[in-house]
Amino acid sequence: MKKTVAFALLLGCCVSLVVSGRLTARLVLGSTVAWSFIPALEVTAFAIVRRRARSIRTFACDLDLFSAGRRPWAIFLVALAAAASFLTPLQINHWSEATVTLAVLTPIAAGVALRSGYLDFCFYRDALGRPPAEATRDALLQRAICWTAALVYFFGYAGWPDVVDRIGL
Amino acid sequence: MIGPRAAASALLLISIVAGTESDRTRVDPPLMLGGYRVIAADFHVHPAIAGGAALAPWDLVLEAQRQGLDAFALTPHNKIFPAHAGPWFSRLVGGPTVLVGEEVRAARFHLIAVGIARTVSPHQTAAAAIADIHSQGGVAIAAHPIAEYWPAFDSAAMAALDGSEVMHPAAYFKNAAAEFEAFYSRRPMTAIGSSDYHGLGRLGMCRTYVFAADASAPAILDALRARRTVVYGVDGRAYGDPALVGLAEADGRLRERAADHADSGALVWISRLTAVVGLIGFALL
Repeated sequence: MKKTVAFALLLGCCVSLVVSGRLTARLVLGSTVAWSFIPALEVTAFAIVRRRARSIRTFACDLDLFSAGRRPWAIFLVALAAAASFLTPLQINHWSEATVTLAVLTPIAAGVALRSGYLDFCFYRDALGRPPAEATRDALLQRAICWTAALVYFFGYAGWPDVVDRIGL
Repeated sequence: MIGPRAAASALLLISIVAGTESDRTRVDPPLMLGGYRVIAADFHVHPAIAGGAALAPWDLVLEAQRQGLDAFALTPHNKIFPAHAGPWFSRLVGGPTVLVGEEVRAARFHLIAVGIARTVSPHQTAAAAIADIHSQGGVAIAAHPIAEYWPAFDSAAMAALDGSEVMHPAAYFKNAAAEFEAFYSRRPMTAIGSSDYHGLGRLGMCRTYVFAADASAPAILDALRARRTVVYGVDGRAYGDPALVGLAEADGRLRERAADHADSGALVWISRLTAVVGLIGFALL
């Protein structure tokens, strides 16, 4: 569990760095709480998928091993937050609106997602002893549960009226 | 000899101490002009809870306080429930006035509703959405009205609209400033400057100076309906009630307050650099 708590703290630190260009106690704590839904969803999805395998280790021990898959995301987030912290408010607004930013970040994020997915696959195959096909399914299922829930939380409520509008209900 | 993990943790601790120490609240004494209290406000702020932004309502209250805002509106996309946490927390800590709002995000227009009690549906015309906002006692503001959104604001919508964002971070690029100004010039309405804050940039970097009887939510809404605002644009041009603009220019203090307040210093840099190195270590280990 230690690594999951550390990841939640890292999210809080990244938000503080982006927002104020420094780490402050109030922003780190507040943002760690506000963004803890991400590790919480990840742990929930992992708990669901782990039931498919028979592990001899404790849940907490498996969770810490599984956390290796978060490292690419952690590096990516820290790099983004570090870059953002050196920009002025105007520069960061311009940067976030620029098409080139999306064009550069999208392939990098895709690469990070692939690397992270591969590490998850390795965990299911090597740590939980799942056959490669099952390990692939486990990794995909965990992502599907976690990412769908995160997207619904983050955008779903606001996006739902658009969906209803499009299908003409 | 300390290990790399301990070194990264120590750097993060130094960063938090230096960052917290440098985290000073901007304190502007209350400004009275023409018998009104001048309220520094930002009416377009997005919270993180169930929305696409970085900071939770409670952090936004503290951040608004730090940026010297007297009032702000929490405006989640197409919903209002996360906005209710703002006024509650602000009352708890003695923070700025927080108004419950919504960014009505329809396909053809974006509208800021301030001072509402229930969600305004985006599945209606702009005129109908404005009528809904008014029926709840709220104020309707055209959000970042670039030319793409203009067709949705037909004569009925324009006649009912209370205000328009004449200043927004997008005014600094994409030639949006000219479009905001052209929309604002269509008819007399309340000049609004908003940061459309999602966590990037600075909360209140574009702000509205509201000339209100006091800092309460009803007084601020009354002032918005009466068009008692002043907004400073990209090139320093002032928009808003001509009499109040003249009053503010003659006094000089408001323009001084509106000037960019750089947020830097040795402690900020120490916090930033130690955070970056510490977090990289933290992520790699």
